[in-house]
Amino acid sequence: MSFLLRRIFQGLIILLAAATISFLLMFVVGDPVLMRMGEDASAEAIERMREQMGFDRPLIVQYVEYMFGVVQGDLGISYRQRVPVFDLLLERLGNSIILAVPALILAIMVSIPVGVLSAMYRNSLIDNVARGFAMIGQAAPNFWVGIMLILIFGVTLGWLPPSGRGGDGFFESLRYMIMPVFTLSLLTMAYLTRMMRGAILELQGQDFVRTARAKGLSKFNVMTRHVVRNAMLPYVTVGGLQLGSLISGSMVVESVFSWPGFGRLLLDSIHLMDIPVVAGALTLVAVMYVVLSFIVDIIYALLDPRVRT
Amino acid sequence: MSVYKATKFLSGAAIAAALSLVGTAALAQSTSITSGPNTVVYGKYQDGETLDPHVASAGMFDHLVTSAIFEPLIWDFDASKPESEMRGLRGVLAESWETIDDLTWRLTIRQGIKFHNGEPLNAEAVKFNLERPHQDGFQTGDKIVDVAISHVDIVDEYTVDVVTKEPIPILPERLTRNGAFIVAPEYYSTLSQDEAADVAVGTGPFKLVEWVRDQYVILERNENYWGEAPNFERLVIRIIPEPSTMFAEVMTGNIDIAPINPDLVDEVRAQDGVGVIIGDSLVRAMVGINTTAHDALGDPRVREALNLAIDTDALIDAYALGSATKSVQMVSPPYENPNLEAKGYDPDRARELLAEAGWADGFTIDMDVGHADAQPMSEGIGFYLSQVGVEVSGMSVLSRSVWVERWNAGTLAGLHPYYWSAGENTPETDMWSVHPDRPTNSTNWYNQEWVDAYAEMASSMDQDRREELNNRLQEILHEENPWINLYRIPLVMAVNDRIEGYFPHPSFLVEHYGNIRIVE
Repeated sequence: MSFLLRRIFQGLIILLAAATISFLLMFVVGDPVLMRMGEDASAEAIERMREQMGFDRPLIVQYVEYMFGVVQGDLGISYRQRVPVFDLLLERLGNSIILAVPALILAIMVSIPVGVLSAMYRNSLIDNVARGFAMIGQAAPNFWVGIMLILIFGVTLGWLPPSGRGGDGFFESLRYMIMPVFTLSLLTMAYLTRMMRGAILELQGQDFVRTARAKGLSKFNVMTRHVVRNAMLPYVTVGGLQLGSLISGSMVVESVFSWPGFGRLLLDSIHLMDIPVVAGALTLVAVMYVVLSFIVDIIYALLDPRVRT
Repeated sequence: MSVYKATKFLSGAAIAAALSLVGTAALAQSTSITSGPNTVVYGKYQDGETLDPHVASAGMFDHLVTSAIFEPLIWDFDASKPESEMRGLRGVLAESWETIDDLTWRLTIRQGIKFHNGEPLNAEAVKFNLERPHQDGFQTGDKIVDVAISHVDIVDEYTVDVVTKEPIPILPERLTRNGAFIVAPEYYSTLSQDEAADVAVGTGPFKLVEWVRDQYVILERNENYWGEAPNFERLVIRIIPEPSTMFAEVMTGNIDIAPINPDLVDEVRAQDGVGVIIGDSLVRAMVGINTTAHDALGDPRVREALNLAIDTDALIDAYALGSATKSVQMVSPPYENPNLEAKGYDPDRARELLAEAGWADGFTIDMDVGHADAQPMSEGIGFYLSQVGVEVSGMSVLSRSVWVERWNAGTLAGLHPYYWSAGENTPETDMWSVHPDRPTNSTNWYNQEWVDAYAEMASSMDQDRREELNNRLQEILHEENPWINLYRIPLVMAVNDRIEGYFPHPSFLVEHYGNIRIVE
C-alpha cells in the first residue's frame, strides 16, 4: 500500500514539474502576442493585444493562475482555435490512439513470433532475413518510409488514398489508415523484434533452461513455457512505454499523412506559439507516461511472481 | 505456454488487432474530401485560426478560405482577365469611388446584393463593417485598424462617405484587404468575437458548410450569387502540411489546385492531366541588412558592395525556376522608379568598395534565415559573399515566433534573407521594411530626408507630387542600400487540366475562387 502511495506521490511531483516547465519554456521561446498579430502591426496595436490577452501582468501572476487551472483540470483556451485546450487535446489524442493502438498490436504480432524464430534458428536464413528487416526498420526514417509508401501505393499503383482522414463508410475509412498505421508501427516492430531475439538468446544459456531441457521437455516447450515467458519481462516494459511514444511522438507520420492527431497539433502549436496547447499537451504526455509506467508495473507483477511479494 | 496456448495467444492477438482496426475505423468520419465531378479541391499547407475576416492571423492562411466566402468593396485582382491585365483596382461590392475632399471618400454600393443569410447589402452594412475593427476591445492585428478612418456617413441607401482622420491617398488599395471584407451586419452584431471565428456569412460565391480544423473546409455554391456563379457545387479546401504529400495528392488527381515545391515542377508537368501555372508575385526575396549589427554594415559603401557581390540571375536560375523577375528596389511595379536599374553582378567593384571602406580583408557576419524555404537561396548568397571576402559564420533558420520577435525588436543578425510582401500593392506599404515607425523594419537604417519625404507622400492627395516623392524615396534607397534586393518569388501552382479560370493572386494570401470553372 505504501508502495502505491509513494508511486502516486511521485507521479504528482512529476506532473507538477512538467506543467511548470512547459509553462515557463514557452515564455523563454518567444512572444505569443507577436504571433497573434499581422507581421506589420503597429506597436500600439501590439500593446493593445497584449493587454487584452493578459500578458502585461507579472509572469508569476500568470503562472499561479495557470497552475490553479491545471489542478482543476482547466488547461485554458487555445489561442489559435479558441476552444478549451482539454477538449482539443482529448479529441486529437483520440485520433492518435486510432493509429497507435493498431500500430502497437501489429508490432507485437510480428515481433514476438519473428523474434522467437530468429533466436531459435540463430544464424539461419530466417534469422538473417529477420535481422535484416529489423535493421532496415530501425534505420529508415519513418518520414522517408511514409513518402515512399505514398508514392508507391498512393500514386503509382493507386490502391490507397495518399493522405487525410476521410472516406465514406467503414471500409473506405479503413483504407486511409493502412499506410499510416504500418509506417508508425515499423520502428516499434523492429525494435521489439530485436529485443525479443536478444532476450531469448541471453536466457538460453542459463541454468533454468538447462534444467528444463534436462528434465526432458521438448525444445518447443522449453521455449514457450520457460524462455519466452521470462523474455516477456523486459519486452512488456519497453512495449508499454512504446505506446506512449507511438501516441505522442507520431508528429512526423501525422504530418506526412495529414492525420489530425496529437503530434501534429503539438508541432503546429509550437510553431504558432499556442502556449496553452503546448503546455497542456506536455502535461498530458507526462500524465500518459506516469499512467503507462504504472500499468507496466502491474503487468510486470502479473508476469513475475517475485515482484508481487 | 503450450502449443495450444501459444496458438490461442497469437490468434487472440490477431483478433484484437483486427478488432482495433475495425473499431477505430468505425470512429472515423464519413466525409468525401476528394475531387469529383461537382467538387473542386484546393490544397493548402496550414490551417487558419479564424473565419472572421476582420481578425488578422498568425499564419496568414486564413484568407485563402475567407476570400471564397466574403468579398471586398474594391479589389486589386481579376483572374478572368488576360494575365497582363489581372492586376489593378476594380469595384466588387462598390460600383465606384471618388474623393469629395482630402478627408472624404464617397463609395457607391452595388444594388440588389444579398448576404448568404438573406440580409441586404446597403450603406448601413458598409458602415458597420468599416467601423467594426475600430471598436474598443476588438482584438485584431489587421492593418485595417491602422487606417485612420474616423467614421462612415450614410448618404443614402447605397452611398456612403468614408471620413478619414488624415488624408489617405491609398484608401482604395487599403480597402482591398481582408480587414475590409464585408460581413452580414445584423448577424455579426449578435456574435461575440470568439463566436464569429467559427462562422462565416458573406456575399461571396461560396457558403460555409463545415470546417474541421487541420483537416478541411467544405464550402458549397451560393445559388443566389449576384455575379456569375461557379459551375460546380462544392469547393473543398484541404490542409496538407507536408509538400511531398501535397505533390502525391495532386498527381493522383485528388486535389485540383495546390502550391507545389519548385523542385517538382518537371514531374508535375510530365503527368497527364495536370499542369503548372507560374505566377508573378508581390513577395520579394531579399536580404535585410541590420545596419547596427556590425561596424561594416553601417557604411553605405559596404552595403553597395554586398548588393554587387551577388549574382541574382544565377540565384533565380538555381532557386526560382529561372523565371522570377529581378527587383530593382523594394517597390513593386507599377510603382517602380523607371529611372533606376537593378544592380548588376560586379564582384570586382564590390571588392574595391570594401577596400575603400577599410574592409579590404573582408569580415565575418552572422545570418538569420526567415523561412526554411529560403535556406537554399541563403546558402547561395553565402557563397557569393565569400567570393568578395565576406564570410557568413553562423546561419540559423529561425522559427516564426523567434523571427517575428527579433524582427520587431530590430535584433536580427547582420544579414537576414527572407521573403516578404505587405500584401497590397502600394509604394507606402512596400517601403514599410525601412520605415522607422514600422515593426517590419529590421534594418535600423535612418535617413531624415527619406522620413520627411515619406510622410509627405503618405498624406498627399496630389498624384503627380506622390509620384515625384515615390521616385525620390527609391533613389535614396538605391544609394543607401539598406537591403540587398533580389527578385520577386514565382508562385508555383499545380492545376488539374479539368480546371479553368484559376490564377494565383500575387499576394498568395487570398484567391479569386469565383472565377474557377470545371471543363469537361
